[in-house]
Amino acid sequence: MTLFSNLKIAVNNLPRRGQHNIAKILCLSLGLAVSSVLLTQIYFEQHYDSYFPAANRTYLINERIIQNGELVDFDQTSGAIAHGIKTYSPQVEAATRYVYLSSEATLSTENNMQVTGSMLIADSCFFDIFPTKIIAGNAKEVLTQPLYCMVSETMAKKLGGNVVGKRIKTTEIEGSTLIIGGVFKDYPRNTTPRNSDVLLSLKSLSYSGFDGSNLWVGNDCYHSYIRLKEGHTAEELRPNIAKMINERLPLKDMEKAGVKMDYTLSLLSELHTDNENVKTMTWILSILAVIMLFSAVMNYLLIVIGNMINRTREMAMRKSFGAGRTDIVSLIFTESLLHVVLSIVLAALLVYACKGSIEETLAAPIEELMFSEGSWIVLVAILTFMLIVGGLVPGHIYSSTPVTAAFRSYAQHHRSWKFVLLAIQFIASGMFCCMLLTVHQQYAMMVNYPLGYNPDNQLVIKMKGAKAEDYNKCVKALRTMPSVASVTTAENDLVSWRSGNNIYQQGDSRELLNVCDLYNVSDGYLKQMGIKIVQGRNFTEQTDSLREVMVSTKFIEKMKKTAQWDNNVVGKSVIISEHSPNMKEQFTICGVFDNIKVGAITNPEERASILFYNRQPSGNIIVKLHNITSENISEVQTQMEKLVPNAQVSVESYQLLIKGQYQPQNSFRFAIMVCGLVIVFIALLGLIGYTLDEVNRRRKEIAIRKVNGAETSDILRIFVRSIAMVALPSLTIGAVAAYMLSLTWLEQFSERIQLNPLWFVLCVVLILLLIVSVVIVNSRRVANNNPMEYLKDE
Amino acid sequence: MITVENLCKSFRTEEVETIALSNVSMNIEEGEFVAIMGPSGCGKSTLLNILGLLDNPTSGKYTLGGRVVSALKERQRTEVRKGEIGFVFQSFNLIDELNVEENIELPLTYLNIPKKERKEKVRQMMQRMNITHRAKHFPHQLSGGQQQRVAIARAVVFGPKLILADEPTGNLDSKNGAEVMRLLAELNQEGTTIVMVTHNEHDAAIAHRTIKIFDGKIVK
Repeated sequence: MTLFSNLKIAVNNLPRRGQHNIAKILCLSLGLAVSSVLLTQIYFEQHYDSYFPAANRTYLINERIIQNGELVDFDQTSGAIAHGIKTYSPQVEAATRYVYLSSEATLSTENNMQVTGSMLIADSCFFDIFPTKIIAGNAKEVLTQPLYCMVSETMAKKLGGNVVGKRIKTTEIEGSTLIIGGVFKDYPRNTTPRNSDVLLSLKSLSYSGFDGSNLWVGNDCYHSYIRLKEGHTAEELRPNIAKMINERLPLKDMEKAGVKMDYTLSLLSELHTDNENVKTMTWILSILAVIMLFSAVMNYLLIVIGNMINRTREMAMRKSFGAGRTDIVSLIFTESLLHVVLSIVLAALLVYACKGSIEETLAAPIEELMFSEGSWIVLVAILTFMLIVGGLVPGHIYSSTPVTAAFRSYAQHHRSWKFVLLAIQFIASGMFCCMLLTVHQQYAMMVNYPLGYNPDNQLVIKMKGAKAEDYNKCVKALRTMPSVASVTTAENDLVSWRSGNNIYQQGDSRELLNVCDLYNVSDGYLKQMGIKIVQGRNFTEQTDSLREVMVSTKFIEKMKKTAQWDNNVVGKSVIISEHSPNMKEQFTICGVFDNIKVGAITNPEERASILFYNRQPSGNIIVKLHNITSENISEVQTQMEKLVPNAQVSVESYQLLIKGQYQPQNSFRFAIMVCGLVIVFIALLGLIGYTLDEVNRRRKEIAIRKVNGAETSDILRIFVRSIAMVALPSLTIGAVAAYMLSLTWLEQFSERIQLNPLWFVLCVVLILLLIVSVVIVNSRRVANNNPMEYLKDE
Repeated sequence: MITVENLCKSFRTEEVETIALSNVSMNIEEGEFVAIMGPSGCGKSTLLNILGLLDNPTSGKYTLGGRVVSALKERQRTEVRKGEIGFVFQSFNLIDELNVEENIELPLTYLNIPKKERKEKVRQMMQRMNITHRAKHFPHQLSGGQQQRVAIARAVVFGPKLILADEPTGNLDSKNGAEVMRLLAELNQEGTTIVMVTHNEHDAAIAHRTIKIFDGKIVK
């Protein structure tokens, strides 16, 4: 038979009753959609920075600081380090350093068009280390001229295209105009410099603030990279780095301050994949993807082979009339091919329909995931696997079934393999559902973790491009709004930004402590945020030029160790770097507040916190509403846009800001939930197929039992018992696997939930009930029907 | 024991209505051995199924042991049938996955008889049917005659008052057929009412009387 006639048969067979073709295609497409997204995501993660041909000899320079006996590794350095190492090491062929200026800089064109994008300041060697196609301009020249920049292709399009020579303004460098000198091809999402819409020359740094690009110590905000010549190792650089430290760093001063400094190198190609979180997520996602794919294909097989009772007779007829082995195999293979093709189409539609959620979950555009060069290999491998297993295996079974055996319903006594396939799906269902329980509980614990402050009903308003006087105007206006309970301001919210400063004491040159500096707050901040004062008093508000500071309780604990302080810190004075310009001005501690949780608990802030007072509102406006509703938020947003039309205003609830920190965990939760739902759905479809086939296979037995006095409940019990015998141990195995997996996953969190085995038991019971319900619903008909209907057919 | 008045049974599909039984009326006394004869498709088995409470009539009245059972629901029919009626089929209808002992034990399990008692009844029945040596064998390992003896053992193991046999010798050779008929006659002599559908005049002759059906009606 020709492929065409096989295809015609396959198409005609599609809606045929009893073959469950729709269920087969649905299972395959769901499995294909989810597993391909997961596998391409894994491929994406595992090939981080592979865009750069020399990624395996490009290194990030890390700073290693030992201060007061505490070791701190930091992935940024001072400005001079990268090129310093290059100067001292002949093995290094290129070096660069860059610093992020803003992740959301506002750019305005000459015709007042406004766009936002990430902006970083880099030296002229940036493209030596991170090569990409230069579409227009001479990158080296552009990056050596002050106030010149290169923009990405996407940014160039946003700015209207043909941008070379155009002038733009940005809120990040007030009062200066930037000239676009060239355009480069965007970096893929899985590269280190992916967020670089605008690359500003290093010489522009002084226009934006302090230029520390040539400092050997301090101002360690630079991402520094070097590339070795071929055939050299990072280890060879050790003596050169040591020499550089000895010759260039102020070792005596550092010794006095109790600080030791060293530099280590991390390979660019392993930078992302070596991260413990990435490793854990990768192998968990791999397990999910493999189980998902395996379940979908196994379920397909389960249904295909489950149809053998019906189809072996058809195949026997075909064989009787001359069909050979090849004909049977090619017929079944063509059917599978059609199913796979339809599944691909459906899977593509599913992925497209869920594009938004997928992209939000994976934090990358779906096109980049699916259509990258390597992802194709993954997708083709998945489809080949599906075709081989789904097409050749059933084809082989049908073709090797003897004709006479087929007429006697060959498959009727073979069901152990079905149990194995069902068991695999039940194990996966149990595992995913129990895992979801852990992930959800951990997520809920993180977002509801006691913070030491109260974010309820609070809004954070950020204003880009606003002037100092705008703040006073806005605070006053907001206070008059009926929905607003109170208003205050803070230089930083307690979620996103954490800067550090050092604490000194007069007459002691040691750096006593590095603290998390929350900078200035204005009137009523502590009260509005619900931060408890445990010692001393609040700031003396409404007073200018205060030299008061408030510290957290952790500050006392740390100072007890490093400066031998006692518990009574109120009234004591300290010098704080950045705030004490000449390292002479002292700040008096006026009060101590209870410890607050700054940032996410996934990346715990271990340092003590300090707060300063400024009468002039600045930074973020914090609004406490009587009731946080979408109408009230919109009202505030509208009011703000009216008050400061020239600024870029964002209004966000504090709670959302906090939840935003746990986006990776939320995404993981979402992935597990989707996988869990899909796998349970696939397993239930498989179970329905299995039950219907079993009902069909055992209808004579059921009828005989009924004739001999069995009631409906007796019949249902037979089916339920046979499934429960597979489901219960399988679900238990799944739950145990989920327990182990949960323990590993939870290791990444410093604050984690206590796993309660009872929850896992409950989860198993619930899935078991679902399984039993499906079995009962599907076997009820045969249990209720007149038994003679089935005996008549025999 | 059995009274049937104006019993009708029709099967309806989307296009046609087939009348299987039309105004059938008859009486069967307790302890009788009645043969029902007629050509294929005349409604014999349909009548037997209704008598065995495996099916409901479309209309008419069926009284079994003084109770009107013609309009019972499936669940109620099962309750009445349980422990009262035994069935013997032409194709034996043994459960392939159960051995001889388990097949015979089957109706007892649904009567909630304790295991020990069940085992004893089964042992006695196997002895009576002369199949003790085949206790652990499965149906496909038995001859037709042995399978039918197992089926009869299963039909009588719980001591039913009524046995309904649908062509019990239809799949057997003459020797095994005669043996089955001997067993049925023996059971009847012990007081069990037997209603048997058959094509075989020789088997029918063993019964006390014969009811002949043609096109769904009793003709004699």
